[in-house]
Amino acid sequence: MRDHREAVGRWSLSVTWVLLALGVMIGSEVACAARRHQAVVASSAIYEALAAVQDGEMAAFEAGAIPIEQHRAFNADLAVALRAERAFNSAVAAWPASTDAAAELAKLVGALTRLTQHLAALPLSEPQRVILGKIDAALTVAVSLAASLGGTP
Amino acid sequence: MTILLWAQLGAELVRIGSASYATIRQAVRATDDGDDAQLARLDKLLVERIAQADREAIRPDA
Repeated sequence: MRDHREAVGRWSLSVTWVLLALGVMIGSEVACAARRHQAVVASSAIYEALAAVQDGEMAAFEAGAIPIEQHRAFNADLAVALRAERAFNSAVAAWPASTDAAAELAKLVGALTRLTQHLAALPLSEPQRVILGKIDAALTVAVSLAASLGGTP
Repeated sequence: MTILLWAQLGAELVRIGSASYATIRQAVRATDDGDDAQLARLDKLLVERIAQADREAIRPDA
């Protein structure tokens, strides 16, 4: 009878360990996928904001609202921001093999900040203020994601 | 008899756990595939946007 109880005890302990292991596997799988998906959504939002900024600035330039020197300078900064967004996008694609996503995101935040400052120096009309608002929105997304990644994606 | 019941219960729990894991893994895989497609699409769009910004950055005077 005692052997019987011990056998039952051993068996239930083994089952518990197997179930615990499964629980841990499921938990880590879901957590990792959720973080990557969050980064993909953020990258998409940042791209959409930058595309809207590019189209908005181009329309303002073609309407004669922005002098050509400022248009060139703005686009030079925009190209830097777009390249930073592409680098971040590539780092997310390589997830989780790459640990570069947070570093690329930091560069992207720097590029977006510079773009915001650049645009803030322009004599802005109301539509151009809307453009600035979109860059700010992209920046907010990037900064909040950077905080959630915490440097160890 | 009791040990047989425990064995059946244990086997059933492990079977349910494994099936749940497989289902979740499949859902995660589907999300990953969708995300990969979106990232590839973004990369292609970014290449075009970068080329446009580069062109405008050296736009000649009208």
